[in-house]
Amino acid sequence: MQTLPSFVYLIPAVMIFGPGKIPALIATIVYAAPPLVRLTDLGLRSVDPAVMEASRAFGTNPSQRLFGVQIPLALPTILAGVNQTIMMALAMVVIASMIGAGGLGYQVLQGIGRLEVSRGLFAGLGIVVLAIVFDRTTQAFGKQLQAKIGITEART
Amino acid sequence: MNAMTDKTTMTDGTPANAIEMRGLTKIFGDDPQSALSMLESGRSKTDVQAETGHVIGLNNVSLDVARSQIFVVMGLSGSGKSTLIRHVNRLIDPTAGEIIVDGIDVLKMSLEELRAFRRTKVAMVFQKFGLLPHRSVIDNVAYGLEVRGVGRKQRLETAEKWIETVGLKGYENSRIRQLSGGQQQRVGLARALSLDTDIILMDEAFSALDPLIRAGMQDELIALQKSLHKTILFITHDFDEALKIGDRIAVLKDGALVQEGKPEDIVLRPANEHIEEFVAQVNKARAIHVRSIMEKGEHEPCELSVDTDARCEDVLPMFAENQWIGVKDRDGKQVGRITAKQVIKALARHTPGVP
Ligand SMILES: Nc1ncnc2c1ncn2[C@@H]1O[C@H](COP(=O)(O)OP(=O)(O)OP(=O)(O)O)[C@@H](O)[C@H]1O
Ligand SMILES: [Mg+2]
Repeated sequence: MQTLPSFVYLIPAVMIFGPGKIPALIATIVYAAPPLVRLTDLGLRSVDPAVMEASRAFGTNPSQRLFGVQIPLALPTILAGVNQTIMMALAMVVIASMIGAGGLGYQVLQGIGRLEVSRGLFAGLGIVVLAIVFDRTTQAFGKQLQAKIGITEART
Repeated sequence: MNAMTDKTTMTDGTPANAIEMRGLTKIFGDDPQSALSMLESGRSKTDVQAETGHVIGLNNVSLDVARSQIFVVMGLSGSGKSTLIRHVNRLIDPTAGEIIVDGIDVLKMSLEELRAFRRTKVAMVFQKFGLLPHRSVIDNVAYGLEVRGVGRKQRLETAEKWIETVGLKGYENSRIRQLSGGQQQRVGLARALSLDTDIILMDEAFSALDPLIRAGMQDELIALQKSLHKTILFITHDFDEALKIGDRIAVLKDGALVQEGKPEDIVLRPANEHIEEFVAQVNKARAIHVRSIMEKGEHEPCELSVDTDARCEDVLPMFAENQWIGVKDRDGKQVGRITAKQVIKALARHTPGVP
């Protein structure tokens, strides 16, 4: 999903829906979702098998194990996926604006088109600030969770 | 429907044995059946492993664990002890053989029956602890009860009680990672014991404990078994521990059962060199019961006496002051007596190399 240039995602979306917000949204989702899916999968599968076995021995069913053991223990990894996904979605802002998504990305696009440096620069900075805020909050949340279940010590 | 087996039931309908294993074989690998036929044609574990890459976990093990006793499984590292105990609650499926727990064939249970069985009939202590790192100590101990559907207030009360019993009072709200290995092991113990099941499976449940706490826990376990008549399948590689707590002992080697019997049988009549090696290391005074070497009959009452469960190690200090020590049965009636000479003879006789 990530090896294709991000412009390419726009083509089928525009072909089906025409320009506008919806195809931009769909293209963004297709582009940004893979890390979330992959890291969630990794997180769920790498839960300590000894813990899973113990849980099984007490008579839990698969959904009790999923919600009671796997998801809580995989949460830091899942959050890393959320973080990645948000970053990649933000990377699509400017590109998506080319098919009429509007917003900050459109301001950047206009700035480039009309050679209005300040407009483009400010909108661009806006996107960067947004990215930093999202990144910091999700990371901090993830670290907090990690500390809670005691995974961080192993790394330092 | 549960598949009842009526082979070994007592008159009142309850099966005599808590756990029965018949010809249990477990082979790890992609194609266990072909390795199984090799094994059945008489090839050795190492042969099969070298030729097919399959690991023999268990090799044709048959065991009867009677109700209300501590049954110890001994063996060196890799002998298949953990593999054996995992079959009892079917954490792994055997390649061949059957397991009958409480008269019910574990392998014939449906998934739903199996879960109910695990929730109510057997509790397990794990060699690798298997605690939930995202929960506090008390929530870990209460986990089994929670899965069983016990209300919050009641399960926390029960958990509290067991945390105190294993000596972790004050740690209720700690996280697992804040505890030492031995403390974590005790959380695992409390988690299993709080379920109050008839059968308890303990896989090296005391291995991470220091000698003092370990001795305390062994006494606790024996007391628990005496008062509540639990059936405990206990795994250890410490022969001294096996002799102290075991009503019966089974010894595994390379996945096969080498010998099974009372502690004394193993010490006095080791089945082969492998077991003799174990026995050579052991404190025999602890293994031999006084009743097995005493002079039977009603002699004149002795000043000091011990009960019929006493071992040589218990009477030895008494000989400092007395020549004869009496042996009394449960009703306080003297059934025999013993001298220091008899004890020393018994200990010496079983020392390898001494004629
Ligand atoms: N899941 C598995 N896959 C492959 N081989 C396994 C597996 N589990 C156990 N074995 C093998 O089965 C044999 C017995 O292992 P087991 O864990 O039962 O030994 P153990 O007696 O409990 O040893 P220890 O005292 O070290 O715990 C070993 O040779 C081991 O390599
Ligand atoms: Mg083991």
